[in-house]
Amino acid sequence: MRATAIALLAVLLLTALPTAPLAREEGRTVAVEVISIAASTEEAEALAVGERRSPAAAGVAPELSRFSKKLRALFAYNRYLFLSRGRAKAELGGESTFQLPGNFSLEVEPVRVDEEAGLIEMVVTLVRELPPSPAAERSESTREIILRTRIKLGNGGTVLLGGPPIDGGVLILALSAKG
Amino acid sequence: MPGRCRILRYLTAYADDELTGRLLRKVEEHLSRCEGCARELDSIRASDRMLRVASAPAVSDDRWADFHRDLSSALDDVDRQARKPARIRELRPVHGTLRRRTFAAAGAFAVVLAAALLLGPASNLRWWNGGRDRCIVDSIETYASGYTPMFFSSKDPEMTVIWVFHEEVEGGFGGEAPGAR
Repeated sequence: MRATAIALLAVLLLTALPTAPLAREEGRTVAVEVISIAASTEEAEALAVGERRSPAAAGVAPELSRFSKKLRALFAYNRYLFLSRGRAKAELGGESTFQLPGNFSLEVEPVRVDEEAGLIEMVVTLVRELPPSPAAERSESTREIILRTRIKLGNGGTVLLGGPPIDGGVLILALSAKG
Repeated sequence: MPGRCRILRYLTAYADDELTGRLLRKVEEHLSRCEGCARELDSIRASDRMLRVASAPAVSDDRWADFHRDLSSALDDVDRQARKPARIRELRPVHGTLRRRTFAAAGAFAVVLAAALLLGPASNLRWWNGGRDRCIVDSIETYASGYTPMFFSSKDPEMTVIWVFHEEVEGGFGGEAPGAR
């Protein structure tokens, strides 16, 4: 009977433990993944590889299957093309830069991990590199900050960023972070 | 006020020349205008200098060997004192009382586990209540002409979207847009 009581007590303690802040911030890294997507309202014919797929899956590239439901529920585009995927580990206070199609790049700086709330605070900057152009009197390439946002994302979660025009559609980025 | 400066946590790394890039520039810029942090940096550097001057005490090989032997011996003593004779229960047939006790213990365990998951602190666990995709947007800004930033959060599916409208892209959010439902 005493062994049973001890086992029950252990279960209660173990279920309470994960809510306590355990991780130390110093030297902690956050794994970041950025998936870039081109969304458009074109006819959904051949996507990346032109293979036949079910009507439900038509219009969404197979690499985006895990976002398929969310993309369809959120947007009215009917074609989602997978462009690229980038992964990096960034230290808190450090910065990771992801090169994206269309001279875009995404800079992700994890600021802190709130273990208790299960949130990762980040500063995310979407930049477009404008190449030199004599017509526009630019002799050097310049950086244009399209978007800078400070967010607290659920640990292991995903946020969608998008809007800039890219090759007949718009650029959508699925940013995920886990720390 | 150095006690409130976030940069304080990076001062030791800065003193050790371990910072690079943007963080290094941030710290240098902050130090140029914060007297408190500059004083703290001086204090860290002074401590470093003192530690470099002080030499570690010399310990002979014989002393290390004695230390290891003494430590092992002390740990063995602790182990011996902690050992107690094991109790051997009387063997009984596996039915009747023992089986009932086993089921009772398993039932109680299941009830406590369910209560802990549903009502206790475990109900706050991320693997239990989901919500990984929740996102709090503290600020959004754009420095490019022709763009307008905004964000929205949907409940089903749970997702936050941060969007920059561009004048080249037709429509927008709000019903008639090609881009959003």
